[in-house]
Amino acid sequence: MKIKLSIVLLLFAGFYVVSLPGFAHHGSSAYDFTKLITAKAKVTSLEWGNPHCILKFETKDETGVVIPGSLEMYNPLWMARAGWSKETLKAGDEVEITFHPAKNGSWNGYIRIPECKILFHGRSLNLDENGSGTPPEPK
Amino acid sequence: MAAAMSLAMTPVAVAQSVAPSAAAGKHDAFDPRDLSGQWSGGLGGGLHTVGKIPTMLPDAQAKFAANTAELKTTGVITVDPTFSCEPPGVPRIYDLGSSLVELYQTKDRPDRIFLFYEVIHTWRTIWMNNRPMPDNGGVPLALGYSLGHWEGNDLVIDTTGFADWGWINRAGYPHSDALHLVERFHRMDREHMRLDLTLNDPKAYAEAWKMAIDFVLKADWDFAESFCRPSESAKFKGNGDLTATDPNVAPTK
Repeated sequence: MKIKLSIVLLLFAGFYVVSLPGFAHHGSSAYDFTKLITAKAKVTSLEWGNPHCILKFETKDETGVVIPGSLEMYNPLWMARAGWSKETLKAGDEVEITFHPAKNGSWNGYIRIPECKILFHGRSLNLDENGSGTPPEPK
Repeated sequence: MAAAMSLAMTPVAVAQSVAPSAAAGKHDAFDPRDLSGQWSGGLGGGLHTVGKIPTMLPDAQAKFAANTAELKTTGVITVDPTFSCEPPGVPRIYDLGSSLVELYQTKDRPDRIFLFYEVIHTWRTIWMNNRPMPDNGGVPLALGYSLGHWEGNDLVIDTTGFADWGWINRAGYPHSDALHLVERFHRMDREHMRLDLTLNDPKAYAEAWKMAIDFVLKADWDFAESFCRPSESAKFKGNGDLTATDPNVAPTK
C-alpha cells in the first residue's frame, strides 16, 4: 500500500515531520501515528529482546547538540523472519530512520511498516516478516 | 507429562487426507477439515472486532477505567498484565505479538486437539470426546476449559471456566468469570483460515462481542520459541517512555 505523504513542517536540517491523513486508527497510544519523523542517526545499540526489539541511537539538533533516542521495533521473531539478527546494526552504524514519534515529544519512536523506514548504506532494510522489501545486508 | 507430550506430538492432520506442502497454491485441493499447520494472523496477532464493541456493564466499566487510567495522563498502558508475563488468556492471546497458531491432533489421542501458540510458548487442550464441562470447584483458569466439536467442516470450540482478571484485548477491555467464548475455525481454501469468535459475558457486557482473525498458512515457517521472560520485560519497561502496547482495538472490519 502506498501512502501519500505530505510534508507539513520542516523542523530543522536533517529532521522533518510529515502528516499521514487517514492513518490514525492508533491515535490514542503513546505514539503519534499521524506523524512521521525522518532523521539521520548513529546507532548506539540494538537491543534484541521481547516484547519488542529496541534500536537506540543518537542524533543531533541544528546546533549540534547530541540527542539520544530509541525506536521500538517488532519482536525478535518478527525481526528474524524479516531477515534481521542482533548483528544487523551495531554501534556506530549511520542510518536514516523514519518513524512515528512519541506524543510526549521525547525521541522515542515506533517503527511500523509500511510507512516507517530504516535506511542503511542507502538501502531500506526489510521490516516485513513476509519478506517483501530489501533484506538486510548479510554480515 | 513431558514424556507423554513428546509421544503425542507427532504432527498429523486434524483429518487425515491432504498434507500441506509449501509448494501448493491457494487454489490447490485441500481438505476443509484439515486445520493442521502453522497459521499466522499477521501483525499484532490479527484479532479484530467485527461490528460494534458491546456496551460495558458497570463492573466492567470500572475495570476498564482502571486498566486504561494511564491513557488519560501519560498516553500509555503499562499495567497490561502481559508486560509482566502474566498469562494472556483467551482471546487476548490472539492479540499479542505476531506469532503462529498451530493445530495438532494425534493418532493416539483422538479425544483431543492441541492448539499451540508460538507467543509465550503455550498451548490449550481442546477436548473432542463429548465430555461435559467439568466442575473444577471454581478454580480460575487463564485459558479456560475448552470443548470442541465439528459442525460441518467448522471446528467449534466452547470455552468457559475463565478467571475474572483477564483482558479481552490489549486495549484493556476486561472480562468476567462468566465469559463464554465460542471459536469457530473455518478453512476457506488451501492457504486461508478464518477464526470467528463470539464472546458472551453477561456480567461484563450487555451484548455479544463478535471478533475474528484471518489466518494465512505459513507452511514453510518453523514454529519458534518465544517465551515471556520477566527479566526482559522489566528491562524493556525500564527504557523510558517505551511501551509495548498499542492500546487500541484493531480496526473494525
